[in-house]
Amino acid sequence: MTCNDVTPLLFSYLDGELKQDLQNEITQHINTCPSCQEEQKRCQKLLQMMKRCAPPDLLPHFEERTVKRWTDQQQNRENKTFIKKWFQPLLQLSTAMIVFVIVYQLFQMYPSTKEDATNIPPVLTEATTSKTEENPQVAQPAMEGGITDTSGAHISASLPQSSTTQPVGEVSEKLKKSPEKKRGDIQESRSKLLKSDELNETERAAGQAISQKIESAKPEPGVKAKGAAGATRDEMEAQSVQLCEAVVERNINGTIEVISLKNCDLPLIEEQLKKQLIQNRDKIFAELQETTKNRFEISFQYNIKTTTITITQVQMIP
Amino acid sequence: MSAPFSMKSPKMEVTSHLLQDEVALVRGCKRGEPKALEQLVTGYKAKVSRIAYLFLRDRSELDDLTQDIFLAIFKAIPNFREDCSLSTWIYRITINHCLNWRNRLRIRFRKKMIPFDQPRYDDQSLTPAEMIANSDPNPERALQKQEEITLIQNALAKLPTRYRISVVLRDIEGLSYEEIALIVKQPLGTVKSRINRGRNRLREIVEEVTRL
Repeated sequence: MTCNDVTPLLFSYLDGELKQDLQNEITQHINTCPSCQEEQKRCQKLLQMMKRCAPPDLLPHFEERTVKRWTDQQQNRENKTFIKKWFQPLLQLSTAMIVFVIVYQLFQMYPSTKEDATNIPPVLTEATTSKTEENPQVAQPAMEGGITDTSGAHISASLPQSSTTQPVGEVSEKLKKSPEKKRGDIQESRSKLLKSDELNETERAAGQAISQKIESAKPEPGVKAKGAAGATRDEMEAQSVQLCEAVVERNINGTIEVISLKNCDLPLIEEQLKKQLIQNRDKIFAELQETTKNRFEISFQYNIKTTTITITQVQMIP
Repeated sequence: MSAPFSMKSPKMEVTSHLLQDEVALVRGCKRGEPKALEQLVTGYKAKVSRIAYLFLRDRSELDDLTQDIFLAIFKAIPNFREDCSLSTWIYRITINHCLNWRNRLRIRFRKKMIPFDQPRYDDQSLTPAEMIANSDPNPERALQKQEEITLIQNALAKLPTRYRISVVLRDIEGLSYEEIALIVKQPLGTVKSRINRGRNRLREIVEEVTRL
């Protein structure tokens, strides 16, 4: 065994970590080799130096300070947990409330009339516009007086200007582009409505809702409606009554059929007129002859506000 | 930044490796009793501070770092599975904490372009008061002793971390090879080899410095 073999193993030798045979061989070599003896002394000194290599003492009351710091930390953590447990839900709730209030305010900011105007059936608004575009001279009196002599947009014309301004403008633009085509469509849809015999409750309700909207959209008494050519509330009241004409056929079995309507757009008028005629059959047809089939021309007033019909004249068509 | 030694052990039935005195101490610490915590600090502050001291640049930070290590121990002790001795577990936490702390510091110092791995201990590392406090009745011997300590500390600082930890645990802490293997979670052969290499490297460094 040479010095080069012994030197790297000296620390393990000093630790007694080597196998017994190797340990004995190194002991023999060290006893005979002065340089390895010197090396062994250096290693021992280094190990002793390392054992003395103690750090400086910690500052006094280290234990108490450490435990105090720990308890303070725990206390802070508990406080944070408490805040998190109670404050966070409150914060969430208040945020939700603020959001709700903001959304509610935004909804309030939009005028309800705009919404009403968009809910009016398209036939009515389109009819109005077609009338306005077709004959402005006629349309203006219609808005004031509420009576027209031709079939058209009488009901819509009686609406306050503010409620119909937006759709009218939009549809007018469309009509300018293709007035003939649009007018044809309107006539077609109107005739479809008039021809439909089945009037259900929904349609009736729709008609009443429109009347209510018209009522709610009316301006305060004495205040001139915006954009309604200076019409006051009294004028508006007058506008709510509509003069209509209808051709009615009475069958031999007593049933009544409405053949055509003039100046009327709402399908519920037909139903109402039928009822009125059946209820007052004796009164109305008393002077008239009982023939197999009679056809009459009936003039009546339709009140949009109260949705009532007042028959003014009955004429037999020869 | 992951801890170099895993604190988790595989799920199995664990029998307590604690000594009789340690059982009551550990239970008290798990319950968070201040007296038990204080007792733990008193019993292990020397060991913890010795390890911490080897990772420090500035001696004035020793108190803070040791305190931080104990706070980490207090935090982790409810999860202590008692599958090793208390001292092994504390050494493990100490070394992991010191390595993480050193890495954090290294990143910070790298940003400031200050070399961290330079030898930290110089002649001004001890204040005169500390030197007197640590000194022998013979001032010359005290000074020589202090020089030796500085020399070893500087040499240790130059060692790679894996060697340094093993050497320190063996030669400064006086732990057995088996204990070190448990702490660093390495095979016994690896630990022996690391210690031997570390010591030889340390000797080379010391001889180099003393020759100069």
